[in-house]
Amino acid sequence: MERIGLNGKGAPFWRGLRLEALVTMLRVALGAIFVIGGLKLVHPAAFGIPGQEALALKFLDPEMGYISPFIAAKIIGTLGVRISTFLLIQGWVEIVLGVLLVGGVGTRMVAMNMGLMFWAFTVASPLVGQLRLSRDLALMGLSFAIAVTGADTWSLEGHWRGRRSQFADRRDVVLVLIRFSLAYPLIVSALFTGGAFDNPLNGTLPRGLILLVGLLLAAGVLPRGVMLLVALWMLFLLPATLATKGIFQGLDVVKREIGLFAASLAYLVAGPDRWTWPKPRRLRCRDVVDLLLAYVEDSLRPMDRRAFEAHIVDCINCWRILKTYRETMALGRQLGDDTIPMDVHERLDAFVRGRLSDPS
Amino acid sequence: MSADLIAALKARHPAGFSQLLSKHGAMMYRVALRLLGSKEDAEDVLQETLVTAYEKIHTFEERSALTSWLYRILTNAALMRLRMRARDREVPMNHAGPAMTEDGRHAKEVGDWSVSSEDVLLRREALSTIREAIRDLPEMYRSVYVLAEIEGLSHQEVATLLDLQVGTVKVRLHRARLFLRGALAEYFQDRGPRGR
Repeated sequence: MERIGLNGKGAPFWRGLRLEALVTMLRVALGAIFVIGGLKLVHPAAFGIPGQEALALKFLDPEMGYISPFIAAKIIGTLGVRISTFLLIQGWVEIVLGVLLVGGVGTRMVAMNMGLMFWAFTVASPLVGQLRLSRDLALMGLSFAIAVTGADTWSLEGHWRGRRSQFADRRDVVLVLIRFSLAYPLIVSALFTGGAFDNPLNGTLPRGLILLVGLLLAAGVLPRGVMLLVALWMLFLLPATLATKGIFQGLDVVKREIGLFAASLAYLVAGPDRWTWPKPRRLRCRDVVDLLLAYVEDSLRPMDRRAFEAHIVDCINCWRILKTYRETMALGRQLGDDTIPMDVHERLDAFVRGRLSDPS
Repeated sequence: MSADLIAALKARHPAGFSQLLSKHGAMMYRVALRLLGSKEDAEDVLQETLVTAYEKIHTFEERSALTSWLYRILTNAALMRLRMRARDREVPMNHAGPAMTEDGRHAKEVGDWSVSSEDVLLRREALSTIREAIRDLPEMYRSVYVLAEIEGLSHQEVATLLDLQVGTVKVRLHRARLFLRGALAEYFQDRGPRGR
């Protein structure tokens, strides 16, 4: 028997923490994207842009830039600041929010704000309406997914307050957010290619294949298999871009793909969500308790056994129920070692020799 | 050995019944004690069982196992006595498991009270707790639990002995285990971490 204390010490540390690790990965990836984007605005020279004014000009480019003339006029007229100054402030805001998210401080609020900022980036684009910044909208969806899960075990907030994320409780909502967040930029990137619409997604694989992957994800057909392809694709894309463009410029080009990689990996491990085909067999805690006897007797059908074990991996409460159920069985069987007290045996033996020798 | 014993029993030789007591007395006493929860009642039922065995040994067919035959006599006698008492408390066994929310999730965090086999004192406490809790099981669950879990009989054997369906045996055994698990969890929760 494993040595397990009354307070649960000795339990495998990963038990019930797999989903927490996925939230941590996604949270840190999204925070890192903001930090990288902020660093570019604060220190453009590191990213191959001569200075703040050159950066402002690049952002104001009517086709390739990120700030439309209308938004630029509002910044200058209403806020009363130069575009270069605005970008500097924006950069520091992004760095602060990114660092907070990487550390896991005020996770829900920060993630919600970041999601809205990703939406604002798209709205401010001179090509708004042409869905050029679909990857930012994907990151908006992923930020909202973190806002739904909340702080995980390994965030500072989780550490201070002893909290876990709500990924396990809101699994389907989070997973479907991730799935659509990934489907969306793939479909849009495949449909809009060339010039300002070029991005690492539509430049590395045939457009037809990208469109197919996006549509399969949107429809929820074999989503984990598709997510595996996406994760492998991103895993190739990240080092390949860094190798050709250098660390800073490379990170600037593929920073969004860091988030897409983390999201596809999270879905691959924790998915699929319930609105997919084939429909996943997922057990509730009550079902697991009902199936305990069949599980310990190894009489479950293979598909039920897989569903049972998939639940146990992520549910610390059900794992403890299984463990203590087995312990109860072991204790009960130990009662089978009880013997007959000597005095009782002697009295019964006397009864046998007296009464049963003379049945009359 | 077994054939000699059966021959001695069929000859109604007192030494045969002494030998029967030596060989199967512990099992019979254990079952009676767990079913009835009282040493006095267990001893009485054992006497009744021996008398019945003595009187009906001629009906025993040697192609079946002597232990199964004894289990049947013993459990019948014990259950008869239990039913005469008719003082079973109403324990809601269909809710013997952990508390759940309406959507089938755990209503509160489940504690891990598993006991190390090396911790002799703690294990003794756990065994004492489970012995006590078995007494609180309704008779229909207790009989299945004692025969299946403590005595290690198969579901089919228990079903035959108690004249039940195998599925019913499984359901009752499962609920009994959940009930006892809950009793142990409650005990260790009240007791708190060691050393406190």
